Amino acid sequence: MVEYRIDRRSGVATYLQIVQQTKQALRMGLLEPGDRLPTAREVVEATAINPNTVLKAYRELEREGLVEARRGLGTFVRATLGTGPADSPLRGELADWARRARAAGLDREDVAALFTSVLKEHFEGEDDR
Amino acid sequence: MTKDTALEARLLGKRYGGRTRGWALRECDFALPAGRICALVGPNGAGKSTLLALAAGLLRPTEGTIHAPAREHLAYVAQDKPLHPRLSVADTLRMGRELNPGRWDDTVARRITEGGGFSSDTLVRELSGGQRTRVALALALGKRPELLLLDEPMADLDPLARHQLMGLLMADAAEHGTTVVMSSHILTELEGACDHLLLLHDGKVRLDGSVEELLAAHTLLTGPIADLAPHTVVESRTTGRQLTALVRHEGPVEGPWDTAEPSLEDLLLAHLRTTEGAPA
Amino acid sequence: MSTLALKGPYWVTVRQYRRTLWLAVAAVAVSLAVIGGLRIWDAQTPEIQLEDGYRIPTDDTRAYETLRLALEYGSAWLLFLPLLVGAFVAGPLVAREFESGTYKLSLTQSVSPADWLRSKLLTATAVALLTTLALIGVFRIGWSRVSGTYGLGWADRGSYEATGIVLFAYVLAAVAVGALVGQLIRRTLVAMAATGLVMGVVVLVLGTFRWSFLAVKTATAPAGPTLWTPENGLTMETGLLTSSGAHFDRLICWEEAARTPGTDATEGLWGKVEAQCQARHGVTTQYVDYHPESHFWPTQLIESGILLALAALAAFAAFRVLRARHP
Repeated sequence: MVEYRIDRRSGVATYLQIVQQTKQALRMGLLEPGDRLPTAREVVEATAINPNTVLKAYRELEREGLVEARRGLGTFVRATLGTGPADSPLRGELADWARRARAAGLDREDVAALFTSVLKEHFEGEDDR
Repeated sequence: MTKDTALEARLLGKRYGGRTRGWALRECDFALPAGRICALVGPNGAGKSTLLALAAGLLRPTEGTIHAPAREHLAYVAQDKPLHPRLSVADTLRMGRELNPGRWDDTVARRITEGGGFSSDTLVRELSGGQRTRVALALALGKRPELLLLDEPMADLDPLARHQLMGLLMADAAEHGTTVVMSSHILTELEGACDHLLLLHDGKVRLDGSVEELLAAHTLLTGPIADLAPHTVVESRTTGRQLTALVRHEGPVEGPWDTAEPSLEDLLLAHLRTTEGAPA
Repeated sequence: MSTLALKGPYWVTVRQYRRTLWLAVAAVAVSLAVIGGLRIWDAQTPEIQLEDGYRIPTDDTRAYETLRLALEYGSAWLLFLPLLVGAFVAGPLVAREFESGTYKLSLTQSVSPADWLRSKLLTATAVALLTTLALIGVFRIGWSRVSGTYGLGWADRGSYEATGIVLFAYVLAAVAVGALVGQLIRRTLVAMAATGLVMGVVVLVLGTFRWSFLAVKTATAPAGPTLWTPENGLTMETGLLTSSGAHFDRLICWEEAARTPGTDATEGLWGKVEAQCQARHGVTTQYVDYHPESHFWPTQLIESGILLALAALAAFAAFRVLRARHP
């Protein structure tokens, strides 16, 4: 089960935060196919956000084929995302790169800035919106 | 009023006392779809409490009409959270059951009073402001209303209780499809919770619509000073050669500016700051 | 006090005002203890056996005198009952809901505003009538011993109200007037004072005019020894008539007797001078206008009728005001 944390000051739409956090949980293997997502009631009771926002986020996840709603039972995970958790080769390469960056004297913020700018360059136009 | 509309006003007006007094509310026209969580905002004296009291059936309109569910199907929590001071909390909840036969849900009411840090034997007059709010909300939600009218519901609560009660409120709305109208000054609280907005100023409706649509219809732009036509300017400020403006756009915004979609707070503040807010 | 059998707004009203209920019960209990205690004390005090077989309390029998005093005060207090009931209904029961804002709570429940007010008024009426009944019962316990003595006759203020049905009508009118005033003046204390004032005026005015409801009976006798009011009646007017039937001012001969030297010293002279004077002026008849004791119940019924009409009017207006303000 995931627990959503809503940051009202982030500037990111609330329903997108739920979508992103669900995807993150799928990538990290915290959610697996067959797992049930918390009900809208459970989410809003914990986060004090609008119920329709949760439903909108779940509809978005459903549209992307990641979850499916089963009437009267809840919303369940259908698929997993990305290449999986810790043992993926891409993660290994990124870890290598981070080690080299550190060895070259870059600090945490330098690395984050560099990473963000590369992300921006390669994923232009796919910005979540 | 159709089945999908929870609250509808047509040319609604209210004037207190004689003809010499001004209008507390005038020419209000709106329809609130059922199932929405509506934020009722506006400066002090804008007519928020009057509108809620009219919706609750406590006042008669001076002119126009307001359609709300029947008394049995709505709940109202006034700003001062009126409760009978000499009744205990348990008696107050029993009162809810006695006055709403066949509707009362004790489980819901108790879920709200629990965690308030008081026993059910406590007399209402011994409760703190926040605890009173809890009991008043319990009484309102225990009735299982279709329409819940809350006048500044969270003002007396500490942030923790506010978050918890707002969560319970939203959970109840999620479970039963309750329509909620709440007036509030706490903009951050409204940001995530409300999906509908009703902005009052000087007794008139200035903005009315779904939050999503309202945000999409406005653009926040910064850049060089230039003519903003054909867009409707809600608010604009110039600092040196820099222009910051919130506009209600007509077609795409093209020009030398950086544009962004405003947050709910940007939108509200811009409209509250200008006396002639763009009519919706 | 059992609140188990009560439902809906009646339960709420009783629960909300339970302290007042206990106060009413306590007031009845205290008055019963006082009057009952005095009766017991009085019964234990020996009476004087007169030679002709009558037994009368001695002048210095303190128990009897205390009982009389308690009843004189008690009957005065009973006259205040409508004022108290009216003030309670107007203030704490109705106006306070508007003053403190709790009407916003009460009027947005599933119960209609009319049901809400009705439950309050019916509860208040039931309690007020039962309390009145109990207090009248207590009064009668004492009154049966001292009735007819000075200040406690059948037509005396206090006794008259406390021994008939008219006090119930006063209490009913007080509830209705309180309901109206409480809504018109939405301030607890002001509404209480106003209702107390209105009911005080009603008690005074009706008390003054109640002996004008029915025509008086007249008894006549030849001029001479004083004509006493018959039928244990309430004397309204006495006077003298000349042979032609004209009223004769008693003062004329009284002054002549007073002017005559020696009338205040010589036994019987005053009466003789007065009688001679009256004969000279042609006075033949004396008369008494009075209400016989048989007028007690008709007067009670007429007065109660007036009060019930007032109660009905005030109650109707109270519900109209409520409907006009709260849809």
